[in-house]
Amino acid sequence: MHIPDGFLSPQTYLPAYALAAGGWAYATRELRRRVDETLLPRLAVLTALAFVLMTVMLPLPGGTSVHASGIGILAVVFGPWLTFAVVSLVLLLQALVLGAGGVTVLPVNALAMGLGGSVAACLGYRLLAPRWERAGLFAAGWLAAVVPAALVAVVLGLQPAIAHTSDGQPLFFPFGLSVTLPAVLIPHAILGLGEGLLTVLVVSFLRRR
Amino acid sequence: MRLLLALSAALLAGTLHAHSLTHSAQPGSAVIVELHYADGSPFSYESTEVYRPAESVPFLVGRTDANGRLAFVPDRSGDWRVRTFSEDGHGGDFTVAATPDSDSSAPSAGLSTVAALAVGLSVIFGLFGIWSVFVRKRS
Repeated sequence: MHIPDGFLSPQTYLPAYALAAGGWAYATRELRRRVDETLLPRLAVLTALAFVLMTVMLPLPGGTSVHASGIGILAVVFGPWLTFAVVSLVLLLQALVLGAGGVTVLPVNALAMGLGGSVAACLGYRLLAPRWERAGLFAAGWLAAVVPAALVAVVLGLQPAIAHTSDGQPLFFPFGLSVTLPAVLIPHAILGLGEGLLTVLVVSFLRRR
Repeated sequence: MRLLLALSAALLAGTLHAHSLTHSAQPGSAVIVELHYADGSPFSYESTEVYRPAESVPFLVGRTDANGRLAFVPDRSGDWRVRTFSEDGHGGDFTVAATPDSDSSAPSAGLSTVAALAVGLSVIFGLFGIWSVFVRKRS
């Protein structure tokens, strides 16, 4: 799901940095307002879980591999802004320590996964949870996988149109929307089922504690 | 007539010769870059581009093999840029130091996944731990 460095044009990641900076400022304020002795350990553990889930690749039949993210869990437990803050921290660590993702593409990955994913997860959860709690949790996990994938596919697929040479050769990511949308969305729609199940299991477990 | 025959024979030989394909294998002079996902599965059959140092026109365009490898034979020294990408947005853009006719290898991926996990988890728990000390002091 992470876009690697070198795939996005500066025309994409510079405005994304401006947008994400505003989001990070608001998220930090929200974090300072809500922080207390009970929130911090829970936030630390679920951030660590998200880091591990995003780092460990699971092989899929057919030769490809995917990873879960834990964003559905974070979104249901802490809401979108705290999720955006901690997912950005996880993505920064992955870029610096593992070389996954990257520093130039950080705001795009953070906005797609941390904000897009968690807002969609919260909306799905709030819509369904009053009547069907578990279905709401499952929807939160599924949306947290699929909505960031759709955003990432659109950003990647627009690159040939945004940055190309005078004779039309793409300068960065070379495939258009007709390729990226199915290539990214179909595996993530399936991965989302696992993410949904994981969200149901982890959040139900946390509520029993 | 004899002259005509000789001329057409010569022309035919020329055409036939132009269609022949020669090849030679030179073990040891290529740079082999191996690409795989973090879990060790190969980055197979994906698009790759290789650029000479400081050039923007690709030196080589192709795909990785079944084992996620690509190979090129450098004809000058310097940092060769390797770009590789799959349609679903995986890939990389890095440089490989290479010199003609000498051993060379891609830069290592740095920390192993287990070591990177340990470093990342230490940073996360460290940051939240220090923060909780300050929160406790305030309250």
